[in-house]
Amino acid sequence: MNFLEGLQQTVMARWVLESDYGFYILLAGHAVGMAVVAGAMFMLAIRVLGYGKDEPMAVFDRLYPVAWWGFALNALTGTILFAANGIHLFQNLAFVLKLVMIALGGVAVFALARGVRQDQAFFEGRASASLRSKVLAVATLGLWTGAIIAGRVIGYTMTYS
Amino acid sequence: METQILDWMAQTPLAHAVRNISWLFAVCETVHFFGLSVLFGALLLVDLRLVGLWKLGSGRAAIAFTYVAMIGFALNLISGLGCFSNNPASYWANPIFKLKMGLIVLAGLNLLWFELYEKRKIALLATGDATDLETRIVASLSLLLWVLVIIAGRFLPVTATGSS
Repeated sequence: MNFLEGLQQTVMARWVLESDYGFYILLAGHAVGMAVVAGAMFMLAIRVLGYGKDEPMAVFDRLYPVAWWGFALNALTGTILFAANGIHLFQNLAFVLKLVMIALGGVAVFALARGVRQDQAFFEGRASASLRSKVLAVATLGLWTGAIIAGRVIGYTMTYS
Repeated sequence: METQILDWMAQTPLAHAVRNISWLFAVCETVHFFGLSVLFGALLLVDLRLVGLWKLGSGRAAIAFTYVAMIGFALNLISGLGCFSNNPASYWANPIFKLKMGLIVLAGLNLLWFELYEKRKIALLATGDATDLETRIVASLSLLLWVLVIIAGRFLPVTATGSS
């Protein structure tokens, strides 16, 4: 029995596959986590692109831990959902693309958050963001939107094996 | 009356489009997920400031993001109508759909209270200012109700009858 087959036999995977509500409870958690992480990243991106200039950038340093809780919720619910159907998902292009976009989206956010903190004039509200930050903000918007779209496509293409 | 409205909603140009164009329902659902992220992300910035998780930023700065929340809501009103029009009778017969709509109405009443009684006070807040208990309750309710709306939305298939 290989690893992915073994995963589908774990207690949590059986719960997803066999209980009445396990699958929906996890999907609901995954949607709430998405709203927190993607939503927070969208707000960071539009602020860097020039919306809501009165909002101090320091606010986002308080928002990041909240976004991390959303990310943790989705890593947890996502891992269990994957365990229940890993054999199929591993070969589902939308799933692979989603993971790639989350990884790249994460890199973009880290680079953006770092760049913003180093850009004193922008951070303190004396100048607009650098071109580099704006490009990273657009990448953040695109990659996290892409991850949401890919997630939906998984729902439309998923079969159980 | 109820049946007539549902029948009418199943015959609008939007309804015909969603049923006849194979990919349009999926697009509506996908936009719905994007819109809810915009709505909730904006509410995080507004409501967490008002709840007091941080006191950085003026009240006006927070209010600016309520308009972003409204854009998210508008996206979801349109995309949600698209999904609903695909099979109005099926959605209306679904108890979780009615629960979700009830929760949205409550969130709307909470927003009305925010607009009528809280916004004036919030507009006067400077960075560092704390909010009063009433504002904190309204902001907490906003986050709670929208989380419940998202959860209810994800549970729609559980009690759905027929194809939706």
